[in-house]
Amino acid sequence: MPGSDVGDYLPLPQAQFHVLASLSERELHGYAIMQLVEETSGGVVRIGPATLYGTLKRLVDEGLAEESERRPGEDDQRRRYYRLTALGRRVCMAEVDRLDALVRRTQRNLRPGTA
Amino acid sequence: MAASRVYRAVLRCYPAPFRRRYGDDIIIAFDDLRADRGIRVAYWRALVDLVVTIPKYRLESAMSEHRARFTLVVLTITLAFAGFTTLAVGSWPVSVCLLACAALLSVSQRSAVAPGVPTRVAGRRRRLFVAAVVSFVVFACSVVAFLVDIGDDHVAGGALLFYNAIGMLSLVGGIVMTIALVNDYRQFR
Repeated sequence: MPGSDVGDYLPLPQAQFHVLASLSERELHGYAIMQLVEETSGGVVRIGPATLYGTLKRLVDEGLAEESERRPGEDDQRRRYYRLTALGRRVCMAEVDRLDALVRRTQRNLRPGTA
Repeated sequence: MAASRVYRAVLRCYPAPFRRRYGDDIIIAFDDLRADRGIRVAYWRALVDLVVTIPKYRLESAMSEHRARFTLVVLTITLAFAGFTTLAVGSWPVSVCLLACAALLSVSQRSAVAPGVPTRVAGRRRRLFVAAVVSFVVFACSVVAFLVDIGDDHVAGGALLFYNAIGMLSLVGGIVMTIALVNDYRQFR
C-alpha cells in the first residue's frame, strides 16, 4: 500500500533515484531508462535489465511511477513506457533537496571560503 | 536469436510472478543492449546483473508477507491433521505435542492474516481457515470414535456407519475449504 508521506521514502536507494531522475525528463521505455541513467551519471552507474525492471516494479508498487498508455507511433508496440506519478515527482524532488543540502554542507566543510 | 533464447532460459531462475510481469520487457531491453553495444558487453552486463539480482529477488519473494502467511496456514493444517492422525493411531504424547504446536500456530495465524490485506478478503480467508480446521477436527474425531468402537462387539453397525458418513463428509469439506483457501491466496496475493 503506497504511503503518502514523502519522508517515508527517503533516502532513496541509488537505482531508484536514478530511474526517477530519468523519468523526470520524459516518459521512457526500459532500455531508454538504462541509457539515460548511464549518460547522466557519466557512465558510473550502469543498470542491467533485471535490476532495472526490479527497480521499476518497486517504484510502480509503491506508487512512485506508473505505466503510460501512450506509445509513440513509430516505436515498437511491445515496449512499455513509464512515467512519474505526482507522488513520485514529490519524492524525487524531496530527495534532490536532501542531497542538495548534503552537498552544500559538505562543500562548506571542505572549502570553508566558498558557498 | 540464440543469445535471447539463452537469456530467456536463465530468466527462469527469477520468481515466477516477476518473470510473468517483466520477462518479455527484460528480453527486449537485453536485445536492445546487444544491438547497441555488442554481444560481449550485453552478456557481461547481464551476467553481473543476474548474479546480483537472482538471489535478491528470490529472497524477497520467499520473505514476502503473503508467502509467509500461506506457509503458516499450510503448516498449521498439516500439524493439526498429523496430530489427530497420531491420536487415532494411539501415540498420544506425539499427538499432544503436534496439536499444541498447531494450536499455537493457529493463534498466531489469526493475528497474522488480518493486517495488510483488504478486510473482505481477510474475513473470507479467516472463515475458510476456521471451517477447514473444524472440518479436519470433526474428521479426526470420527476416525478416533470409529477406531475405538470397531473393536467393540456390542456397538451397532449403524453407529459405525454414522461415524463413517460424518468422517467422509468432514474430510471432503476440509479438503474443499483448504483448496478454496489456497485459491484465495493465489488470487489475491
